[in-house]
Amino acid sequence: MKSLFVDASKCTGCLSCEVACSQRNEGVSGREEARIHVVLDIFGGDNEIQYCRQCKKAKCAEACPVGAISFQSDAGYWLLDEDACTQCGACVEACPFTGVFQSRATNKVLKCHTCQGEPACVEACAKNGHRALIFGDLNDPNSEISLRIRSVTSTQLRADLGLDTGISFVGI
Amino acid sequence: MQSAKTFAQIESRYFYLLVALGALVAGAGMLAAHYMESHGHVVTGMNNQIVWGMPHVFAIFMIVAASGVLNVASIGSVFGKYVYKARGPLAGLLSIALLAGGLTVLMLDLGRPDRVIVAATNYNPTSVFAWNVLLYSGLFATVALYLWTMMEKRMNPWSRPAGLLVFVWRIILTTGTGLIFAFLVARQAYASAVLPPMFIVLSFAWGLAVFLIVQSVMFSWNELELNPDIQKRLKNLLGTFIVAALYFVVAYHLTNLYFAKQVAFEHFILFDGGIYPWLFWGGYLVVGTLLPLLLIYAPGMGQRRCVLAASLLTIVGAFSLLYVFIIGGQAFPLDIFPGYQVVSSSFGDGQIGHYAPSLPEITLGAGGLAIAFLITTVGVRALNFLPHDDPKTAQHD
Repeated sequence: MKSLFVDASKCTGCLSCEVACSQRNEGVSGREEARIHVVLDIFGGDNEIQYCRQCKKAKCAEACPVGAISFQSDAGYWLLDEDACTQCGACVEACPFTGVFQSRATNKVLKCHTCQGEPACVEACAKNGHRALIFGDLNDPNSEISLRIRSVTSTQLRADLGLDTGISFVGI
Repeated sequence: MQSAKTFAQIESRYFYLLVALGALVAGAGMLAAHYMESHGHVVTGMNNQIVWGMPHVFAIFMIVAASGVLNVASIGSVFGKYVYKARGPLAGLLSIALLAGGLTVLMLDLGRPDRVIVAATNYNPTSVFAWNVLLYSGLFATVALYLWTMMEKRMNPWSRPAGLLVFVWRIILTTGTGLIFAFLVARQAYASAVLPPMFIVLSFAWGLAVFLIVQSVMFSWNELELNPDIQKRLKNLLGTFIVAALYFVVAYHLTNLYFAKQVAFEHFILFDGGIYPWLFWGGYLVVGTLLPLLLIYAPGMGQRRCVLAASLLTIVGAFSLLYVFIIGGQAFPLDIFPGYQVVSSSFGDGQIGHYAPSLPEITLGAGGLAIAFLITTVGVRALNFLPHDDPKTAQHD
């Protein structure tokens, strides 16, 4: 199964991930339209990254009244059906990680679907040499993401909610 | 029937004026919705942290009051009290009117109204929001049925079972409204099992307050005086509901204060959260609870004007409490790192959400109220909803 690994300590705050995301998914270069948000800590340098954690037990999918968010089991991500979405914002309200966004310009709900297996944010981050984001196959023990996860002690946030987040990250 | 005839004659002078006024505000609300739909949430005070704003305060007030106003009818039909039975049809009309107003605001503010058909044809059983879609539309149907059984003589024998159905339905509905918040595990403020019963009791107070205002206006227009025994009974009922609502609000905050993880939130809401403590202590507690109780129970008080003022203040308190609960609850930062001491963070996990209601939001909310007003005005004009009291029965009931 494909998954995303985030090392926030390597994030320099260049925002290329946001630009790449909004360009690929919305056709515009706007932070407001991105599905990944970097909140800059200008003085401390502890930039933090808001994004969908692809929880196994996703509260957004549970809350959606029309069932517009469905799990793509083979690819390991939750897909928001934009044609079915009524933009009610229930998913935004339900996400404990502020990982689902609603564009203030278009009201469109923006939720990461890992660009259906080829995330633009990861490509942009790697291109800039930061490698704060790594995407790969967890089932392959020799993949970069598997090696990286084995080399660090990662933590699951809000384990009390039993969401079983599908994304690993360090450097919080 | 004399009173009904008189009513039609007197209010006809004002009817078209009232309808025009209601239509004007409702139209302004529609324009506001269109403006927000075309320009996006950027023209509102809402953002990614505060997703539900001022329109939701209006909408939830109307939906909760729509359920609570039926209490008047339930006491009559289910519990057999004649005084309340005479008020059943008006309670039913108000319920439908408030629900229509509240749902209009919700539909126009939450997302895309053009996709309402999707909400009607796609159903996610795990979503408490989807449950409420069924419960709200079901209330329309059950209240319409109830009105039919009350207002058509040959259907009268069925009014008791219909009333029982409405009673059960509205208790479930208001439980569902409370659960919308209680199920939001992401929001620390709402993590309480007391929310569903609290909303039920709040609905009793708010619904009765709306009912008493409308009834008072109808009696004034008809130059009728409400029987003093009935007046006393209704004002005591309002007082009881206000106290019961206060009990639940106090229980909610006290239990929160008992849990260490909620103390920061309680401090925010009750003491250092800016507008929220002002609205809670001043708006809800003083203006919306203590003053109405004074107007109802203090020696020399309790007359028609006092009860009317108490009802109006109860509604002011309702709006204050909902603003604190809905917007204050979202403004308090998410606890993304429980168990961790966040040394420094610029993330949303430590920041108070900022919200300032915008004019279009308030106009949309007022538009919802205007729709409820229009339905009520046209309803009481077209059909005989004026409560007819028999003084003898009122004394013995």
